[in-house]
Amino acid sequence: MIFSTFLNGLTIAGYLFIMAIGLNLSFGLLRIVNMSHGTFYLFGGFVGWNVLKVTGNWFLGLLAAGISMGVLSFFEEFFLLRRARGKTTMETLITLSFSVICADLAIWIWGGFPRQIKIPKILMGQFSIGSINFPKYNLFIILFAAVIGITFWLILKKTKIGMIIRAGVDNFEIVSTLGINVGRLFTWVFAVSGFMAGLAGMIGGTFQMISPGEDSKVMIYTLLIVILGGMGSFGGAIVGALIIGMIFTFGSVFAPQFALFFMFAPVAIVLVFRPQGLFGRRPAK
Amino acid sequence: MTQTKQPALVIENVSKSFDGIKATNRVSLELDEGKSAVLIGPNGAGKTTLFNLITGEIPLDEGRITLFGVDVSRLPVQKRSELGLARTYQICNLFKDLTCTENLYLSLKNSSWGKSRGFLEWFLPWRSNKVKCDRVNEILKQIKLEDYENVKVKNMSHGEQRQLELGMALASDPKIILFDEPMAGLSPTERVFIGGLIKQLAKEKIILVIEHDIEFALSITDRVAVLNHGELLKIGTPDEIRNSKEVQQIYKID
Amino acid sequence: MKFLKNTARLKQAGFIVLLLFLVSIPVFSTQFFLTMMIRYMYFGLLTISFSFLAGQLGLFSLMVPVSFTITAYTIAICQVKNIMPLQLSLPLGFAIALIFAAVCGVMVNKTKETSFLMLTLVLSQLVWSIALQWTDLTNGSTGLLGIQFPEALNIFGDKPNVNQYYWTFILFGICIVLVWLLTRSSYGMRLRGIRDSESRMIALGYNTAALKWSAFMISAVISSVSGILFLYYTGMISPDLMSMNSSNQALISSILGGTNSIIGGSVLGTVINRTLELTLSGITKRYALVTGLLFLTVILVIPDGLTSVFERFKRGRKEGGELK
Repeated sequence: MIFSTFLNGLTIAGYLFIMAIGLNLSFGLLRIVNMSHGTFYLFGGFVGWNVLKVTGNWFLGLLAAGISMGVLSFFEEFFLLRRARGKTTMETLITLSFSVICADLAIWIWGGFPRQIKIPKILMGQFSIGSINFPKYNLFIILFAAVIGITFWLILKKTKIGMIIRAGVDNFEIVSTLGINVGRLFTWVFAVSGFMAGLAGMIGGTFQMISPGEDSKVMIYTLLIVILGGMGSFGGAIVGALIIGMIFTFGSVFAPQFALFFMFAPVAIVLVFRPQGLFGRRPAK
Repeated sequence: MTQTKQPALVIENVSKSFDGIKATNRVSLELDEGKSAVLIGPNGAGKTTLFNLITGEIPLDEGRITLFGVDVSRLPVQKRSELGLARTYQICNLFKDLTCTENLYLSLKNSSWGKSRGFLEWFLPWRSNKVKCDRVNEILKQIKLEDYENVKVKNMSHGEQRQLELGMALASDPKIILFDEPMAGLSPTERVFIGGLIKQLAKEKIILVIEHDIEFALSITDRVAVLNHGELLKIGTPDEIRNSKEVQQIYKID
Repeated sequence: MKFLKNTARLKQAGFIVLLLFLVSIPVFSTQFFLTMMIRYMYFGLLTISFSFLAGQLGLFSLMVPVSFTITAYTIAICQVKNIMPLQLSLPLGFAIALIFAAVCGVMVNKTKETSFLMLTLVLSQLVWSIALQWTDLTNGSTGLLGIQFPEALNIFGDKPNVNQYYWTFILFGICIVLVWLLTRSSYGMRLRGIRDSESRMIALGYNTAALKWSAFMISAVISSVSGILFLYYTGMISPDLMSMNSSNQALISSILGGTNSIIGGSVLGTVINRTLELTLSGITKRYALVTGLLFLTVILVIPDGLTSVFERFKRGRKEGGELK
């Protein structure tokens, strides 16, 4: 019982981590909180569901969810956010209004009722260690999140673009002196962040369900992770996702009335003692 | 000497490092009445950092700062300014969406005119405070911005903003004023006016000025402190500074 | 000079006419219009509570509906479960909401801009999650229904609607006058000083943390008042009132009207937003889409809101162009 709850928590942590890393990326570099990130999750899930229905291929749906959301966020950055560059509050408000618009569009296109995305054949069924049964799909999510995490870590540590992004997260002025096109970098980073949200939407939508209203829930969980772990911190996203995922599943099992409350409590405590989050850096003066 | 009065500002062995780099390294300096000083040094020498340490905007790592005999090393910024410390900023730090009058009105906090009216202040219109408003007009005259009383700061020119920056330091009626490059980016006529004002102030108050224009700096005071790589290289009269080999060395590279 | 005097007198006259009109509304108006006015007023207060922080401090708080809901829930729970009479539950509701706001105020005090926005969002969702999941107490997503307007307060005749209108009007008026006084006072100026440059305010010797906290509390008080009015008018309270959508509505109204003019902007924004909501919801189901698009357009085209357009027009006439 406890072990399978633990594995469930790990699964939720997995797709929330993919969300959080996307949000962290756009926050770290662009210094805005992308409030439409949750909407990309929902939208991505719906797009994936549609593609799956037409083609019958789940992995194609996953790709379509990611790419479509990448394109959508590319447009959001390119046509809207650029107009308010530098005014962070205004930029955040733009993403907020964008999320209101997209959430309603999603209801318009796909209707207001929940959809179940079918698990692909290869990932169906159980997987057992001794007496514990564990769905293969959950294992897939955990592995997928791990792969994404490792890929990101490698990109951030080993490539030039990763170095630029890391420098930008640390100290923004440095990036503009490196002689690269900052505007273009912003757009691409934002698009990648949307891509991640789309992927998470398809994966999470298959694991639970994809339904309107899910967007703000997932958005809040992601925000909790990011605040808990520290804004713009890679390690923080991992630890934050694990903590939130575990509290969510264990809370739902053992104290269903207060599961949500328990998720907020550690965040509140962290805020009091370490306002910058567990792994966040104190803002330089 | 039988001086019982405490010196105005004493900095003892103050250090501060950012990410392992020493921005200020064991700096000691003393300011007192008639003992104003000019702070010079190449870019990145830690001059502004030293100012921030004195005012408390950055907490110091080691050392001790005393203001009129009170150890302020661990006191927050507002407590230090209550003791009579004011500063100007290198990059104008004004209330951009407020008018000139409002900027000065806010600066009166620690002056003898700025005594708060307690809780009533929350509800009475600020213009009803005649004492403060009169004082603001006085200062406006002094810094020659009478015509700008209802102009928002963001609509003023750079020179005018500098004038206001000075006025705000004046308004709090401080005993010590720290000027951080008060003449940066000014036109020659503006320099004459602001320079004159600072010279006049130097007679009444204790000042510490960061200034690149040595000629002007020396016309204020004959105490020069040279800062380089966060260390206080030398402090003394202009001649001593000019003849110091160390100082010559750093300025040769410049 | 004479012209100035005249406009001042004109303003006074206009104000008195407006006041008389508002007071006499119940005499001649239809039930529907009265209902609308009450709605405008309690949502208007919620918008003012948002605008007060946004305009004076430059902080966009997504937790304004929190004090609103906590107060309303406390009173509703006390009434539904027969715990205590209104005389006690009213102050208790205020107290709980304000204590919570006080704690939150300390927590968010050091943050600005987007981090403030985000933290307040998370805190509001914390309360939302309690309201939603603590079903024994709050009745879950259905919320608490059937809250009666106390009969002892029926002092303006027999019609319940008229009574509610006057009570709403009185409380709305008191809040507006207080906010108006605060913004004109040197206290308000200090808040605007913090908005423009907090570091300078500290250097000048102000205790900015206390100032910010007090502003946060004032906003919470206004929001609480609005919550009471809402509860007694609609007779219900549910977690929906604290969902992201609810705080978005306050934010949209406030930005639509313009945060620089707190009272005018909030009232204007609320009236437009709520009228749109009412008319559009009759025509189309895509009401949220239209509000979202409107909001986006306002942010991109007139970020200072509609009142700034009037302001510019007025100044343009007076000076023949903006000073730049």
